[in-house]
Amino acid sequence: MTRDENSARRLLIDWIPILFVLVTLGLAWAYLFSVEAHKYATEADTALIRPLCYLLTILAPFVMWTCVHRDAVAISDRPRLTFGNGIVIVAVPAVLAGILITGFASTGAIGGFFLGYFLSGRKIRHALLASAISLVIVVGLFGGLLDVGLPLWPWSD
Amino acid sequence: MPEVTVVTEGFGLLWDWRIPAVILMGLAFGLLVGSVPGLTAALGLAIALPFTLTMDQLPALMLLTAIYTGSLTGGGITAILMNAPGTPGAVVTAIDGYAMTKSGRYNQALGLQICASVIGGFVGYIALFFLVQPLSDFALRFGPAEMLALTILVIVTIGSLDDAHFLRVVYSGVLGMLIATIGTSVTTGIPRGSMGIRALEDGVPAVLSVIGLFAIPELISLGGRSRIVASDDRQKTSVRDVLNGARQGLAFRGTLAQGSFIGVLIGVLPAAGATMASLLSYASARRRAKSNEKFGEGAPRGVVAAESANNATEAGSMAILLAIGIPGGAATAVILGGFILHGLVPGPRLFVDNGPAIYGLIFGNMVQMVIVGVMAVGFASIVAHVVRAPSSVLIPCLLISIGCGAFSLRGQLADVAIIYIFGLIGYFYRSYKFAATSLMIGLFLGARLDAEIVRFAVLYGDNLMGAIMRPIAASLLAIAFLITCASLWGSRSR
Repeated sequence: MTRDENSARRLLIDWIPILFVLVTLGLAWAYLFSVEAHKYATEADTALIRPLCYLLTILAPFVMWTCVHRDAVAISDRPRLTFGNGIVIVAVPAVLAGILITGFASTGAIGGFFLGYFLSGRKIRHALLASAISLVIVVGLFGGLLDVGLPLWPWSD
Repeated sequence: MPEVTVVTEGFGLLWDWRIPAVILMGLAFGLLVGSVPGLTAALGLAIALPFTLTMDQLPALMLLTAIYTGSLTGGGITAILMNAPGTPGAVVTAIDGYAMTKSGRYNQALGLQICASVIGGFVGYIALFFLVQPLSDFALRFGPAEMLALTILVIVTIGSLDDAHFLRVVYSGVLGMLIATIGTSVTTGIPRGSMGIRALEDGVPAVLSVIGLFAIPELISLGGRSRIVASDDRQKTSVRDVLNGARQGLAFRGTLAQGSFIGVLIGVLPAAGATMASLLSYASARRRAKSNEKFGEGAPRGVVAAESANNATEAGSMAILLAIGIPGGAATAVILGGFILHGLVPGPRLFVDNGPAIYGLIFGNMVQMVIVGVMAVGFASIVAHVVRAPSSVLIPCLLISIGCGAFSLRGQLADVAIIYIFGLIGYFYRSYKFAATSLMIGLFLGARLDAEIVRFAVLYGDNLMGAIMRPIAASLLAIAFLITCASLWGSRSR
């Protein structure tokens, strides 16, 4: 076997989906045990959970096997993460934390500003526009027009 | 056949000034969302859902379906003018549509697209009118065993659409069903997996999860582009020429009929959706075309075939949603959420309990199909400006809107967390081909199965064969088994 053939046959392992399968499997069993451990639990409470856990356990090794590839082509079709994608991915938990801690209005204004700033390649005009429109959506549309009782500020209930 | 009194009562519900108002608003918003690549019907519906909370049942549902209709039609406009399909279903339209634009025939292409969309959608809803009642009556025979078999079949069918990742898709479906069991047990009332979080005691809200799963990954993907569409193509459309194109579209009667038929049929299949329908219709029209019709180089028949099937899928997916309660895709899942929010539970009992409202909805959708044609002609002239909006402004606004919308549904901050967390899960799923649609089906059907599993155990006990040997359940499981074998064989040979 030539050196080229050897490198072509090298196994490439996609670790992230394997990790996902292992974590979900662990959580599934932990969930089943936590339900069974409840002092008032009966067989009926786990009637669906138990077979689903068994099924996940049976499927898991096969799914993990699909994460082992003989060539790089099989894993090259994944979308590439650009700077812009990364910014939005980071923004999602940041916006969530902002909403939970400081309320919707300040998160809309500040989050909108920073997200607009970084996504636009540091253009202040876009950042201000994003911030202003976000604030209008939160305060004017949802807070005012729809009156859904959003916790707008950190001191809101 | 539908009962005449129920049908006439349903038709009477349309005589309300709010209905045309919400139809116009919904179609305009749908056309806007559909024409913008990166924003899909599901995202538009997710944003609109909180606005329906203060509306009555029929106007609310009409608004949601109008957005769905508008988005399916709008997707084709940017596909033709800029080679930037606004929705996945419009990808096939771009093949011949953009080729026509390059040769200066964009008005004709737009006319053909709009004509085919309107006719495909209209024919689809006529089919829905006649089919939905028998389908619903058939679904009334479904007991727990049939529901279990159907769930297995649906998940396996979704997996079969992507042989290479079949096992990941099935794993996702099972995981979705497991997540759906979280919450207070229906049999003993004990909390299961809610970790003391009050919002989880009623279970993981499927609608919010689905909105997160599909809407947020779209925003993440959009983050990779500075503008929604970078193309500088700015064709000046002429209403008269577009109308002439639409008239020419009427000449392709066979292709329109075939596209509509394929669209309805494929629309019924969960997750298959508009892309597959338009592809099949296009391929079929291409096979039957005369030798002088140059498909791929601007053949009008290609646009008609793709678009008629694209819009007819709406009726197919609505049929399966209304009759059995299975959402075929992300958009219908959000519409299902709208039904539930307004006290309607799609499934076999829907027609028994709410027949007039559903027929009102079907008639309203037929009206929508005609109006969307008129609106699309005007919208085509402004779409070039719309899609040049900077994504750096759009993304923050939509991200915060989704959060506000999540809170407004139940007034709980935990729901905001659920929607954003499922958003990140959705992006992971999209990147690693785990199929968010399969997780979604698991979430919707798992909750129903969990409620019925005790009845299943009481009815059949240890006699599992007794359940499997029921004709409908046995047939569904046999089909699921065959599909599994074919998919595994397909992935093995690949």
